[in-house]
This record gives sequence, C-alpha cells and structure tokens, in this order.
Amino acid sequence: MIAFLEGPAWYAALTIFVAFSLWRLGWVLLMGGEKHKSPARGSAAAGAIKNVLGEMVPRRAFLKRGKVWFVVFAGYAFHLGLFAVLLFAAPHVDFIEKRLLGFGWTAMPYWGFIVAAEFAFLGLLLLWIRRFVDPVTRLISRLDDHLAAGLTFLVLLTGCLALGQQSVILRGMHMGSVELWLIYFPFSSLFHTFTWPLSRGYTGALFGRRGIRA
Amino acid sequence: MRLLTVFSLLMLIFALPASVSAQDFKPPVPASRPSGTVSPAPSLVRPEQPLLERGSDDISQLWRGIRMGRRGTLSSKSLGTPVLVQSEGELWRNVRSTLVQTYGAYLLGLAAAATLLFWLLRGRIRLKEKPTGRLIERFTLPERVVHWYLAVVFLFLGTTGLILLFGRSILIPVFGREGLAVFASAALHGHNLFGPLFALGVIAMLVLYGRDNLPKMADLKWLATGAGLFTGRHIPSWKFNAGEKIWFWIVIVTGVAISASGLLLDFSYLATDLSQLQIAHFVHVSGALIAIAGAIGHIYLGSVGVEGALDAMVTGEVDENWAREHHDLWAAQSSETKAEEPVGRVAPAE
Repeated sequence: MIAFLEGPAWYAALTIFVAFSLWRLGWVLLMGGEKHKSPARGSAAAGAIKNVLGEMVPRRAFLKRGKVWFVVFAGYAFHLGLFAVLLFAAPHVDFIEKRLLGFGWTAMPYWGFIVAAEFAFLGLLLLWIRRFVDPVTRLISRLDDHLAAGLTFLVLLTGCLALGQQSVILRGMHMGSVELWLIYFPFSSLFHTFTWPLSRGYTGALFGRRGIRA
Repeated sequence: MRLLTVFSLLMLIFALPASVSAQDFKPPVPASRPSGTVSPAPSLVRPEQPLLERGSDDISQLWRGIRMGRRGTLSSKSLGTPVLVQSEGELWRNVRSTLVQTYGAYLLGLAAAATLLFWLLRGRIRLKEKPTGRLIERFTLPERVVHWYLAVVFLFLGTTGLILLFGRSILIPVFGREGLAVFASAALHGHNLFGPLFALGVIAMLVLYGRDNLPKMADLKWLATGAGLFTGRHIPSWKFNAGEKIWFWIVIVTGVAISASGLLLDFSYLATDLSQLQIAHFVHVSGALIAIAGAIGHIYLGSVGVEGALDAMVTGEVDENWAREHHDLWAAQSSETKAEEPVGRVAPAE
C-alpha cells in the first residue's frame, strides 16, 4: 500500500494538480481585461504592486472590532504557519529535494516547525469553528468551504501524527491525505493560493490606472 | 524523598502491594584480591563511595549499588547524570500501571454509569411551556468559538491520552503489539503537539467566562435544594447555576494543572530531576481523568440531556421561556438591560 501511495498515486495526484492548475490559471489569464477608452491617470503597474503588497497589512478599522480582529489574527496565524510548515519543515524539505526539485534549502529547527504547526492548527480551528457558529458565515458557507478546511486539517493532522517518522502506516496516511488534497485543489476554493495575486493585482491595476486611492 | 513519601502514602491508602521494597544496602566484606583483576564497573562511572570494593569483582554488589540509585562520579561532565538507575522510577511505574490505571478506569466507568442512571431516572429535561419564539442572546460569538475550540482540542487530547494510558491493556488484544505501536506513536505526537493549544484555550475560557462563574448567594440555595434535578422544581439561578459553575472551575483548575504539568513533560529538559517529571506525570494523568469524567456528564447534559442547551452554544440564542425556566434571574436581568437600550439604536455592523 505504501509503495502505491508513494509511487503511482503520488504521480497521478501531482499530474492532476499541475495540469488542472495550469489549465485554470491559463483560463483566467486568457480571459483578458476590459479595454480602456479613457486616458490613464496613473500607473497600472504601480497600482497592482501596491494593492498586492498593501492588502497584506490589515486595515486599522478591522483591528478595532473584536470579532473581526480575531478573524484577522487567525487568518494570519493559519496561513503563515502553514507556509512555514509546508516549505521549511525538515521532512518536507527533504521530500522536495528527493522527489520534486532535486535541490533543497535550509530547514527550520525542530522547535520552529512545532511553533509554526501550532499556529497553523490554532488559526484553522478558530476559523473553521467560526464557520459553524457565526450565523452569517454559516449561511454563506458551501460544501466546498468545509471540504477545503477539512482536507487541509486532515493533512495537517496526519502530518502531526506521523511526526515520529517511525510508522509506515502513519506516513502512508499522510501521503494519502496529501494526494486527496492535491487532487481536490485545482477544482476548489483552495485555488485562491494562486489566484489571489491575480485578483488583487487586477483590482490594483484598475485603481492605479484611474488614479483611485483605495 | 518527596516523591517517595507521596507515592508510599497512596500505596498504603489503597493497600496495593509494593513490588519494590526498600532494601538496606550493606556492602559485603570485601575479599582481598590481587591487583590487576578485571573491574566490572562501567567505565563511565567511578563511585565516590565505591560501588565495588577495591580488588573485589563481586558483580552483584556492584549491581545492588547501581540498582539502589547510588550516585557515582562521571569521567566527563558532558556524560549527564551520575545515577545509572533511578530506583524511584520503579515505584512510579507501579503506581501508574496499577493505581492510576485501575482507579482511573473505575472513575471513568463511574462517570458513565452515573450519567446513564441520571438519564434513566430523570430523562431528558424538557421545557414545561412552549417556546415563545422570542430569543435572548446567551453566548457571544467569541464565547462560542472558544468553547468549541476547547471542546475539539480536549476531545482529541483526551482520546490520545487515553490511548497512551490504557493502550497496552486494551489495544494489544485487538490490534496486536505492532498495531499498538502505530496508535501509540500517533497518539504521542498528536498529544504533544495539541497540548499547548489546550493551554491557550483554558486561558481564553477563563477570560471570557470567569466573571459570570463567580459564586453568588443564589448558588448556595441551588446546591442546598439539590438543584431540583430530581424533584423537577425550578431553583432560581443567574447566567450559570451552581452546577455549571462547579464544572467551570473543575475545568479551569484541572486545565491549569494539566497544562502546567503537560508543558513540563513536553519540554522535559526544563526539569532538574527525574522525580519532577514523574510527579508532573501523576498530576497530569489525575487531572485529565477527573476532567474526562466530568466531561462525560457535561457532554450529555449539553447535548441531549437538557432541551435547548445545544442551541445556546451553537446559535448563541435561547428562547425566552427557556431562559425563564432555567436561569430566571439572568433572564430578568437581560430583559431589563434590553429595555434600557435607547429605541432606534442601530447595531454596529460586524
């Protein structure tokens, strides 16, 4: 079973992930933008860059309201924690070097990996629970939102359970959940991972060209 | 010494046989041996009071000294502790394997049995009158998020903790030793990682719920009348009745004990002596078993045991009649607060 999960299943999942991600990205890029008839009042490129980077910092108004503050905090905790764990945890760096890119980089120390994982779990749990108990998010959440959160949680959890790297079964469970996640990724809201700079960049370019300060 | 005193008292109380008896160590009369005989002493330890008399090759004497936890001297400071075998560990192991496992299982069984008995005798506590349809906010969004966050983390930690405590007894007959190894490895790493998350949840719980759970005079009457649980008579209470307050403070006290001991066990290099970790383990397991036992009753009452209780913690709102029947003093206070709000005030967008 582990040979299947680390062999054909892994390659199939990776192929689906890459192929359909490229297809969806290409589809978005080929959609093009609206044609502008009015003269430009500012720089679209500068507006795009400003919006992509500027939106990373939470707006001051959001930090005043307790309810929104915790959502902002949880969002940052989850995304930064997951980014650190995914790309800088030693087992992942090792895997990327041996199975993907052929080269690696310096991994985080073990304590850093644990702290990052704690933040990732904390953020994900707080946000996912909020989807159930906040009447607004409960109303607007679709199955896709819960599947995306659930699959991501499953990947994190199985990775945590396999931390000892002693058990083939636990490693297999983690690989299996990662493969499910990769297959689901291009067809779900998880794809925001790649579309967020396009979306923010387009809005920023539009505002920048029109000279809007937002 | 402190550890020995605590465990010895517990052993006496529960009349469990000690498998390790304190032996008086009397060094045998050394036999004269010619120099140059092979010393069986490990090269790492040179005893201050010799574990082995000069010239003697009595291995059993050497082992008795090591086994009783006598300290030696190390040839290098970087080699760690100069005690090869910590004898108190055997006492700790016996306490864990017999006292804690046995009475812990009894406690959990008792909690489950008491909950079942309560359900059989009292049934589901339903509303006496029909709901009015008018709702009162009982729990805010942060309160509900923190509650469910702590619940999820607690369930995970409880499950993994029980696997670590009872796994050998329960899982080996079912899954075999190799199967237990998988469960135990997963449980250990999951438990260690989620522990700090639980500590954060306990702190957040104390901050959000602490004020409303401070004791009041009405709680004494509630307790004195047995909460009206078996008579069906309603006893006045504020936002939380005395039973809920007792459960809250059990969660906080055991939560703090579990978190503190758990963090010491997680970062064991902070301990200066092995006995500290053994005491921490005992505190951790005891606190956890008490919390799990209480949680069995809490989960029953909060889900199916009391009509409308689950809605309160999911939607945050309860019917007026529910509030009047279960927490009438709080319901009256909430109505007064709502009546005092100026008419036409627009709620801030959230």
